[in-house]
Amino acid sequence: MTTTDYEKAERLGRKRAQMLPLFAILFLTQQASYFSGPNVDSGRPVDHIRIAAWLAMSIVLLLVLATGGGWFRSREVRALMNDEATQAHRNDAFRFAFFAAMIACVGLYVLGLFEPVGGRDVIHVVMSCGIGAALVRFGMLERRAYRDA
Amino acid sequence: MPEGLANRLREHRAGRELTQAALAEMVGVSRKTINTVENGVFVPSTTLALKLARALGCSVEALFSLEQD
Amino acid sequence: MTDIEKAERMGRARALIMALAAAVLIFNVWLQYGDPQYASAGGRGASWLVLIGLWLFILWNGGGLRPGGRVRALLNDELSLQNRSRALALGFYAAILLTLACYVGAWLTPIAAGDALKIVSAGAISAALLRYAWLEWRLH
Repeated sequence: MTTTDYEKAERLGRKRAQMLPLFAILFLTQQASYFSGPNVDSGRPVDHIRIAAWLAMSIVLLLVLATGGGWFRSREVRALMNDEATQAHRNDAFRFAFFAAMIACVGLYVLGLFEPVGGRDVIHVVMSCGIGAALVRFGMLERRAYRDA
Repeated sequence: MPEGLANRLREHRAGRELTQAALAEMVGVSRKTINTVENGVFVPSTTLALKLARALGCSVEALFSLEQD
Repeated sequence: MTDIEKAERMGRARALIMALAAAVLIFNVWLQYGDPQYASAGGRGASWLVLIGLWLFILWNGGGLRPGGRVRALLNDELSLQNRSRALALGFYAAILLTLACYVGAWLTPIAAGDALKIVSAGAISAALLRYAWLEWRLH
């Protein structure tokens, strides 16, 4: 590994740490538009596009979390970006997000016992909690690590 | 075996005629943890590696080293 | 019996119980799916919460609350913590993938909110329990 690889990985790692919470905000904002907009079951073409965009974003964010990003970088740079400490942060984020998603499930289930709740609505909320929590937690841990350096 | 890590825990333990359970008791972990460390399935933390070295009366480097060393 | 032996026995039992719990959760989802009695406020509706809450609690702290501090520390040592972490990561993936599957499935057939939540929570928790049980069991 060259010094340039280290510098690249350092720069990209810092950028990732800054971007992750922003991705979470973007994702949650998109969710908010789902709840505030017209019913997606209306069958309008724009609704199909909204749903497709949401699905695509969910999958991309999940892949970013799973792989750490940097898909178009060299193997050496990616190995540096996803070293032991980052893997530990990612595991921590997944633990956190698992419980966040489960708490969302429990909360929505309780709500559903007393108020009518739509199937798709709960799915959006659970996804938001799960992926959002993972992005925020991972980002926070990475940012803290860079700040302490 | 985890990438690049050589492991001589079993030899040192056997040399002191300790069972896995006895060594586990000395360092405060379960027997299966000792077993997985010896088999190279689990990489111990620095703390555990130091405890193992102290329990066996040797250095950490005597127990674990990088494969190219 | 020494603490090591106690912890080892409890560890094996825990792995077995977790695997059984996963099967029970999945069976319950299958049993309750589409039944409005299990989606109403009352004993049946609340029973699901108790079941989920119990296993979430076990996944959170690893169980073994009855034995003393030392046996519990051995039961939840470094390796077990790592195994639990790996299991919860799988649980997270399962939760997200099941959520997506329910979303897509809802286009083909209507899925009630309660049923979707049960599928996601039971699937995720079962995946975590089974993974944890497998990682722990294969070491004994």
